[in-house]
Amino acid sequence: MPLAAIAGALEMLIKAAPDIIKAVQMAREYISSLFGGGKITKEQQDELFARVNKVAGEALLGNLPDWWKVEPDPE
Amino acid sequence: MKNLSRLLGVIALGCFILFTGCKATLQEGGAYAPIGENADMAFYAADASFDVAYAIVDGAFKFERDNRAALWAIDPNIKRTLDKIRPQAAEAAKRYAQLRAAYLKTPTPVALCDLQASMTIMQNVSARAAAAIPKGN
Repeated sequence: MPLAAIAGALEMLIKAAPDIIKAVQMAREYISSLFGGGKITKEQQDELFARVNKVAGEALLGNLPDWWKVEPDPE
Repeated sequence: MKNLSRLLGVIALGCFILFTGCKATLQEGGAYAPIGENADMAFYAADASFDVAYAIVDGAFKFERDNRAALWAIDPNIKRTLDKIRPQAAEAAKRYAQLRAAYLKTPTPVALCDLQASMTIMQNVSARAAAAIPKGN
């Protein structure tokens, strides 16, 4: 594999990490809360509720991030 | 990267089973366990599963857009595949939001079943979006 291709792949990984790893981290936090203390705290519940409320509200209005929209193919 | 995609897929498909099968309890006073009312673990599980599925979809779409030129050069089908999923994901999120609003207004078992079914569709979309992410060699 050419060095430039390796560098490009690494660059992509670095760019992707904050977005995709966030989902993995989120799942781990849920799992930890479910099996760690055995009780899901008020704060954890309220945080989830607020986050889903926000996303759901935007989805109802059709307000989606730009990267959810289908755009023309590159030339 | 290949392992990451697999992990995302497993998380997307397994979260609902995990959440509904857990022994955790909800602290009274939280959004899903209002004081003086029964704790609603099923609703919490649906929201938590949707939350993770949404984050996976969002991450996959953003990854593709942020790296579009490079990914297009590698394989145009990555964008084409995600472009098919994009409207489906938007519709799935909107449907979940509608059914969630209905459940919040009238929390019946039937409304909960509808919400769970909708969440499953979002999970399916998220698994497909994660699978479209390029694999490592």
